[in-house]
Amino acid sequence: MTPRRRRGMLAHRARVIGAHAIVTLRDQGAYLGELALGGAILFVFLFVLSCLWTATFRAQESSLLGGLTLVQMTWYVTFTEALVMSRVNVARRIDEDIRTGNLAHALLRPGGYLTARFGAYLAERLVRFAFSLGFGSVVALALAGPVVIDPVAALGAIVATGLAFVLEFAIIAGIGLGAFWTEDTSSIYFLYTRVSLLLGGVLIPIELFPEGAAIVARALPFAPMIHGPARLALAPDGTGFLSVIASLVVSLTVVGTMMAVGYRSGLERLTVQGG
Amino acid sequence: MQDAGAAISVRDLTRSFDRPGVPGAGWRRLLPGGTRGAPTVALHPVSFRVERGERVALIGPNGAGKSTTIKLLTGILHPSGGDARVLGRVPWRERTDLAYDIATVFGQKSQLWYHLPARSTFELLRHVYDLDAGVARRRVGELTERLGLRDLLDRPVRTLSLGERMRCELAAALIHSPRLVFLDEPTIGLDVEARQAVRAHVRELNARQGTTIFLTSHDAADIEQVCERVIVMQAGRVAFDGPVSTLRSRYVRGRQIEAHFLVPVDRPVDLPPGASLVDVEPQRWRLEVHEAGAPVGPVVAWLMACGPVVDLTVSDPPMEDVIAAIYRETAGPRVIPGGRP
Repeated sequence: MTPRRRRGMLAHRARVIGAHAIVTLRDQGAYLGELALGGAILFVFLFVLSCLWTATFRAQESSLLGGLTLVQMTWYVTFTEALVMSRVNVARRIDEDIRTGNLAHALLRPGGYLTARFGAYLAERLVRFAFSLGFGSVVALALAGPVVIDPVAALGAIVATGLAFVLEFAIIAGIGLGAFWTEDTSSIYFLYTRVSLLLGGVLIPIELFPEGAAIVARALPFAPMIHGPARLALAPDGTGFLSVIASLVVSLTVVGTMMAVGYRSGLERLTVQGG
Repeated sequence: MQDAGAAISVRDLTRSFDRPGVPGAGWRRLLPGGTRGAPTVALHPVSFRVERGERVALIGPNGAGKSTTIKLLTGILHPSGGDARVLGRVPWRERTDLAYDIATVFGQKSQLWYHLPARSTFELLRHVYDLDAGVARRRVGELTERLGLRDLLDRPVRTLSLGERMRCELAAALIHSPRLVFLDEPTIGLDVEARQAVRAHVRELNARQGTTIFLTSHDAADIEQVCERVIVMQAGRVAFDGPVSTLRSRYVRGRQIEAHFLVPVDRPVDLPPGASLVDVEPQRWRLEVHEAGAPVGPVVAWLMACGPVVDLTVSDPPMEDVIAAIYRETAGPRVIPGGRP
C-alpha cells in the first residue's frame, strides 16, 4: 500500500464526492433544456397555488393561516416546490446500474459506488434547487410581493436544507437498491413521490393538517425534509430550528442505516450469490 | 499456499450458482431457498498461473466460464471453493486495494462522461485513484503522446469516433499505471484501423512497462496479435493452456492448400489419401491435409495433374477456424494435449 493510500478513507471519499460533483456540474450544461422546462412547470404550479391560497384566505376571512400570511404562504409553497422539483431520481440510475451490471463495473474502481452516486446527486440537486428557488422567487415576487426573512432563520433553513438533501438521497438510493430484490422499483419511487407530496406539507403546511394526519406526518421523515426547511426560512427567528434538525438527524440515522444495510446485503447477493 | 510472485495464481477455483426453481412448487416455496433448483456449476475446479508481464488470452464459447473467471479475479464475485491471488491479493477480500493495481477495459462499457471532454473524466479519475496533481499531469501527458490523444482530449466524447473513444477509454483505464490490465472484447465494433491501433497500444504497454495483459475476445486477431499464450475454457473447465502457436497445431491438425487454376476445372471425384476438400470454386480449390507434419508433396503433385495451376499456397489453418473448431466442442470438456499440465 502506497503512502497516498494510507490517507484517511473519509478524506478520500470526500475528494471523490467533490470530484463527481464537479464533473456533474460541468455535465449539467447538456441539460439546460430540461431545466427550462422545469421552470415553465414551476411557474404554472406557483400561479395556480397562489390563486388557490388567495381564494382560501379570502374565504376564511383571515390574515393568518397556520401562522403564515398570504405573502408568506406564497413564499412557503415556492420553497417547498423548489425542494420537490429539484429532486433527482437517483433511484432510476441505481436501478439501471444494478440491472445492466454497471454496478459490478463501478465496484472495480476505488472510492465506493454510493460515494460516486452521492457526489453526482449533490451537484445535480444543488443546480436544480438554485435554479428552482431563483426562478420561483422571481415568480413569487411578482405574484405576492417581497417577504421578510430573518438572517438566523435563513441560516437554519440552509442547514436544514442540506440535511434534507442528504436524507432524501438515502431514501431514494434505498429505493433504487431495491432492484437487488424486486423486478421494478419505479412504482416504489412513484409511490414515494406521492406520499411525500401529501405528508411532506408541499401544498399545505403541516400546521393546517387535521390533528391525526399532522401526528403521522411529523412522525415520518417527509415533513422535516420538506416542510421543515421551508417553515424555518419563514420563521421570525431561529424558532423550531432544533426540533427540525433533531428530526432530520434521527430520520437520517434510521434511513441511512437501513440504506447501508440494504446496500451491504445487496452487494452480498451480487458477490456471494452472483446477482 | 499461493504464489505471491505471480500476477495471477488460481488453484482449484470453483463457482456454482443457485438456479431458481419451478414456480408454484407447493408449500415448500415459502421456505427459505424452497424454490431453488439444483445449483448450476459455472466453474469446475480451475487452476492456472499467469506470470508478471505475460500476455494471456482467455477464450471459449459463451457460457464457458470466462466472465465468471474474470469476475472472480477482479473480486466482484466470491468463489464457491478454491483459492486465487491477483498480484498477491485475494481479490474478493481485498477488492478495493486491488483496484489501485489493476485496470479493466470493457469494449461494450464506457467510463467516459459522454457530454464532456475526456480530460474531465481523467481529472475525475485522478481523485478516484488518489493521484497527486503533478503525477496525474505527467501520466496524462505520457498517455496523450503514446495514444495520439492531443486533438481528442478537449472534444466532447460524443463527438469522437468509436476508435478515438476506445483510445481515450484505454488512457482512462491506464491513468493510475496499473500492473495488470483485464481487457474484455476491447476491439468490438471498431474498424480495421482502430482495431490494429488498439492491439498495437496494448502490445506497447506490455513491452514498455511490463504490464500483465489478460484478454478475453472472440476476435482471432486480438488473440494472435496481442497474446503469447491462450487459455481455452469449455463448460467451466480449462481445456487448453499453452502458447498460441501450439493451440493451432494441436487443435486443428494439418494444413491447408489453396490452388488457383488458369481455367475452370471439374470438381474432383477422388482425392489423395489424407486430404479433404474444404471449399471448391471452378478456378479455386481449398484442401486440407489432415495430419500435422504429413507430407504435402503428393497432394501438390495431384493438384498440378488436375489442371493448369497458376498459384498455390500452403498455410496453417487460420486462427478463426481454430477458434470456431473450439467453439463447436460443446459436448463437454475436452482436454487438448500440448498445453500446460
